[in-house]
Amino acid sequence: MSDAAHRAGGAAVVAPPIVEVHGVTKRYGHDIGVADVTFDVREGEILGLLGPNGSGKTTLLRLMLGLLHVTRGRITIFGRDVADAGPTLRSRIGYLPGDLALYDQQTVWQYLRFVAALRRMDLRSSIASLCERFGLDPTRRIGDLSRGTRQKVAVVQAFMHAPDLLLLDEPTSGLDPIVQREFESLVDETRLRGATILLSSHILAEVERLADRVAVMREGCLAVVDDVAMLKSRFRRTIDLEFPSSVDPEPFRALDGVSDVHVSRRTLSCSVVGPETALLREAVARGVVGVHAHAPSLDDIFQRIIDGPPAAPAGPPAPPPAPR
Amino acid sequence: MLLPLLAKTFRDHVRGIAGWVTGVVALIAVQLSVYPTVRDATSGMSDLAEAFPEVFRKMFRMEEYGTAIGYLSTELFSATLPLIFIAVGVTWGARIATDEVEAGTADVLLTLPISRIRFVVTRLAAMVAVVLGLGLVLGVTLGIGSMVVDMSVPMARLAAASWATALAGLAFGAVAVLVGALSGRRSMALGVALAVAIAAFVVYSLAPLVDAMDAMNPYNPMQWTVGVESLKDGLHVGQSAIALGFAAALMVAAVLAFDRRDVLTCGPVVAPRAARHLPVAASPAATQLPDVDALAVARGGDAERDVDSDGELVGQVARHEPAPDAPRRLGVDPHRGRRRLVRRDALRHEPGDQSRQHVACAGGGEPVRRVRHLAAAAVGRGDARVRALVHHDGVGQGGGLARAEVLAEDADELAVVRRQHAPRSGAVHGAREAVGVAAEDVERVGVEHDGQVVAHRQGVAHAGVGAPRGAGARADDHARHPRVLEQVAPRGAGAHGAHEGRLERAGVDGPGPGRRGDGHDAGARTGGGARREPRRPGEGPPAGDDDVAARVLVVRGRGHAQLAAPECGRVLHGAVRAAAAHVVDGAQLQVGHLIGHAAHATGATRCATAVRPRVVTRILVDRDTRRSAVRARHAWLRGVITQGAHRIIVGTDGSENSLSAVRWALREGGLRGATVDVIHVWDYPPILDPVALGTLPTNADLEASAERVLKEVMRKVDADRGKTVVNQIVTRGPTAQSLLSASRGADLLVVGRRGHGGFLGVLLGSVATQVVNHAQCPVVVVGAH
Repeated sequence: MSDAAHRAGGAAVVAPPIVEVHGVTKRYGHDIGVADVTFDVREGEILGLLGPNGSGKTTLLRLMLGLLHVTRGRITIFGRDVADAGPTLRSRIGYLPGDLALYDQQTVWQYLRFVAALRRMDLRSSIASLCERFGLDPTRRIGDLSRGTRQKVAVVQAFMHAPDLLLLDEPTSGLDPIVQREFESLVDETRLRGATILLSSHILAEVERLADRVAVMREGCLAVVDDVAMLKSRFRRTIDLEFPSSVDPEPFRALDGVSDVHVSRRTLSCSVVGPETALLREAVARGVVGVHAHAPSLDDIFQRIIDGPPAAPAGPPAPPPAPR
Repeated sequence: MLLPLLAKTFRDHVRGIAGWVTGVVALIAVQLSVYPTVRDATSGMSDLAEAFPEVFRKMFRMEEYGTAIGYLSTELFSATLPLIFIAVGVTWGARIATDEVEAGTADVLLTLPISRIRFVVTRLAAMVAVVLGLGLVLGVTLGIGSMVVDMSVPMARLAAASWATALAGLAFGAVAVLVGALSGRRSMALGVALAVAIAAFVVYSLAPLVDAMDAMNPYNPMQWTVGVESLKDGLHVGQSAIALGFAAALMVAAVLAFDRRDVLTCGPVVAPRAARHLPVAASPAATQLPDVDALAVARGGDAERDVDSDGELVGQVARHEPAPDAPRRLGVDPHRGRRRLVRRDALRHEPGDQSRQHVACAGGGEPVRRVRHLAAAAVGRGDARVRALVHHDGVGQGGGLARAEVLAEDADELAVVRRQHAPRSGAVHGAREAVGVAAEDVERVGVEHDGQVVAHRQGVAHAGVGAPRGAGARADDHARHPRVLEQVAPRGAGAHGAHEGRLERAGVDGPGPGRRGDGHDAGARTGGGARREPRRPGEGPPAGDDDVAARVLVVRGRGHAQLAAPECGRVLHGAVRAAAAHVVDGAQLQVGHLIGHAAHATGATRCATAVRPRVVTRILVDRDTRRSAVRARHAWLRGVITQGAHRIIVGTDGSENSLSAVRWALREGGLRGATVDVIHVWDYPPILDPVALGTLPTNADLEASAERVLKEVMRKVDADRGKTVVNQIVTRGPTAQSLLSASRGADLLVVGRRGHGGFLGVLLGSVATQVVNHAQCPVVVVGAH
C-alpha cells in the first residue's frame, strides 16, 4: 500500500491492521500500567504514541514485544497473538528501547554484529551503510560514546534488518537536530518501503512532522486516537486579535467554538476549537489590524485532554489481576 | 542453543573462570605437596588427630588422616572444595536470569527473534559448562598430582569425588538460578542461595552429632553429593541421580519462571508514576545546593526522590520553578552495585553552559563512590567545580564522614550538613572531623551547625582548624630543621620547643582539627622551656585540649620519641618520619594509640625504618590495633623490638634443637654485642579448615600457650643469656615468612635444624630450608648436641 493511496483513501477503510490491541490491561501489583487500551496500527502508517512521562507508552510497547505479559486483553501483530508467536513475530520487528543499555566493553561493530548474529542474519552491508549515514564510527568502544552516539547505535540496531514493523520508544532523545533530521528522513524512507511504524514520544512537534495518526495516552488510558490534523483542530488555540479601538466581545462570544473571550484595551483574546473561519470573518468585519495565534503547547494539549471527558476506559475498573 | 550468546557469556567472564581454575589448581598443588611429609610422619599425625575432640574428627573426617584417602577427604573434600564449587555455582547461577535484565541489555536481546527459553537455556548451559569444567580441572589436577606424589588412590575414585563435588556446585547453583528467575534480582539470588547452602552445610556437618540433623540429612543436597564419600566408596549412582534430578528440576522451574516474568525497564530509579505519588520531601541535596548546574545523586540517597526518569527535577525545587538557580540537570546512578553509569550524560556540558559549571555530588546513601565518579566524569569534560554535600549524623567518624572522605577526593568544596535529627553536640565534632578529612584535597570546607557554618578551612576556624601551614612552620624552623618541616608542616602544624638545651620537638600532625593548638599545648607541657610560637593575627584560638594526648608526637630530650598517632595513615607517616629523623641512635621510638588499620601502623613503622633503619626500637600498639596488626601478620609489629647496632634473630618452637639455636644465638649475641630477638611463631595447624570456628581453641588460647612456650624457652636458656639484650617476640603467621620479615635488616638469623619430632617438626624442618633459601642475611642452622 503506497503512502499516497494510504493518505488519499483514508487509513481507516483501506489498510489492514498490522498491530491490534484489544482491551489490554497491564497491572503491576496494585499499580495499573495501562488500562483497557484498544487501538490498532495499520499497514504502512506511522502512528505517534503521545503522552507525558509515565502515561504507559513504554509499557504498551513492551507488551507488544512480549517483554511484559498482558494482564487482560490481547495483542496481535501481523495477525498472530504476541503471546503465542513472539519469536517469529519479532524477526519482523525492530525495537528501539527508550533507555538503551549496551555492553560498554564492546565496540559498536561488535555489538551490532552480535545482535545480527542472534537474528541469524548477516547484516554487514546494512550496518556499514547505516553507520556511515549517521556518522557512527563502528570501531569505537561503546563505553566511550556519548549519549547521543549511543542513541545512534540504538537506531542502527532497530533499522538494520529492514523490519516490517518498527516500535520506536522516544527515538530522538539525545540526538542533535541534524541527526534528528537524518533520522526523520530514514523514517520516511522506511515508510515508503511499506513498513509500519509506531513511534512513542512526548514531543508533539516531532510526532506532528512524522505521524499520520496520533494516539494520546494519559495515566495508562488511551485518551484519543485520531488523525494529526483532526487532533490539532480539536485543541483550542489561543488567538489574540488587535483592533484599532476597543472592541465589544459579545459578538465573538456568540460564535461557535470560541470561548474564554477576554478584552484588554484593544486586544481581544479567545480560545478557539475547530475551524477559525467564523472568528476571522467577524474580526475582519471589525477592522482587525493584527492576528496572533499561539500554537497549543504539549502541556496545553494534555491539559485539555485531561480536562475533557475521559476517552477510556469506558467500563468499570478492572477486577484484581490474576497472579502472574 | 544460541552460540553467539554462549560465546559472549564465556568471553565476558573469562577472567573469573581463569581465576577459579587457577585457585583450584593451586589449592590442590599446595595440599598435595604437603602430603608426603604427612605420610612420612604418620604416627605424629595420628597423635595429633587424636588430640582433637571426637566431634572434630567426625566433622572433618580425620579418622584416617594418615592415609591418602583420609588426607584428601579431610583437607579437600570435606569442606574446602565443596565450598569453592558452591561459590562458583551460586555466583554463576545468580546471574543467569538476572544480570542482563538488571543491566537493561536484555531489552534488546529479548526482543530479538529468540525465545526467552532459548535465551535462559543458553545461559544455563554456560553455567553448567563452567561448573562441570571446573570439576574436570579438579579431577585432572588431582589425577596428575596423585601420581606425582605417589598417592595410590584409584583414578576412578578421584573422578567420582570430583564429580560429586561439581554436582554440589550445580545443585546450589540451581537454587540461585531459580531464585534469580523468580525475583529478577541478582543480589536476592545470591543471598538466598548462599543461605540455603550454608544451612545445608551445617546440617551435613552436624549430622553425625545431632540426631535431628541426621534425620534431615537424607533430604540434603550436601549429603547427596559431598556426603557419599566417593573417595572411599566410588561413584554412588543413586545419590548422583537424585542430585542431578534436583538441579534439573530447579533449572526447569527457573526457565519456566523466567519465561513468565515481566522484564521491567531498567534505568530510572523512581518510576515516573511512582515519583508523582511520592511524598515530596525537601531533599537536602536539591534544596541546599541551589546554585549548581548539575547534581549527581546516588541511588538510595536522600536526593533520589527528587529525580524522575529523564533526570529532571521533580518535587520541591521543581515546584518552585522558575527558580533560576535550581540545578538544571541531574545525574543518577541507577545501578546499584554496577559500575556502569547510565545517566552520566546528564552531566555533560550543554552548549551554552560553559560559563558556569558546578557539579554537586550529594552523598546521601551508600554508593557515594559512584556518585563521585559521576561527578568526576563531568568535571573531566570541562572546568566544572565539584561541590560535595554530605550529611553527618553527629557521631563523628560515622558514616557521614566516611562518605565525606570519599567525596573529598575529587571535590573542590565540601559541605557537611548535620542531619535533621542528629544530636547537636555532634556537629562540632563532626565539623572538626570533616575538616580534617578534607584537609588537603579540598579548597573550602563548610560545616553546618544549626544553620551556621562553624568551621571552614580558609583562614579562621571556630573549631580550631589550622591553615595549611600551621603556626609551627616558621621560617627559622624551616632553615634549621628542613626535614621536619618538609614532612610535617605542610600537612599540619608543627610546634616545638627547646628542652634542657636539646632539641625537643612536638610535631603535631594529623587529620584532626585543632592541630596547632594541640601542638602548642604539647610543646608547653612536655618541654618545660618550650617556646611558644607567636600566633599570626587572624588565626583562631587553639582548640580545647580534650584530645590533645591522642595526637601528639613528642621527641623527648633523651632521644626517646613517643608518637601518639592520629588516625590517618598517610599523615602518620609524615609524623613518624619526622620523629625518626630526630631520634638519637639506639633510642626508642614508641608508636602508641594507633587507631585504625594495621596497614597504617605497618606503613608508619616502615617509614621510620626507612628514615633510620637502625633506630626504630620499640613499637607499642594499643590493643585494637594490635589485633588488626596480628591479623595482618606483621610479625615485627607485634612485639618489642629493641634494636642495637647489631641484631640477631632466632626462631624457636620450644624443641630441643631450637633451644640449642637460642643458646647459640645468645652466646653469639654476647660476643658480638648484638641484641637478640627470640621469636616464637605460632599458627593454626594447617590441617584445619576455617569452618566451625566456634568449637576451635580461640586465637587467644593459642597465643597464650605460645607465650608460655616462649617463656619456658627463655627460662631454660637463662644461663646462656649473660648481658645480652633480648627481645621476646610471639607472633602469628606462616613461620618462615615471619622469621624472614623479622630478619630484615638483621645481622644474623638463627634457626634450629629440626624441632619436635612429628607434626610440628615437619613444619619447622621445612622452615629451616625455606629460611636458608630466602633470607637476606646470614643464616645459621643449629642442631642439637
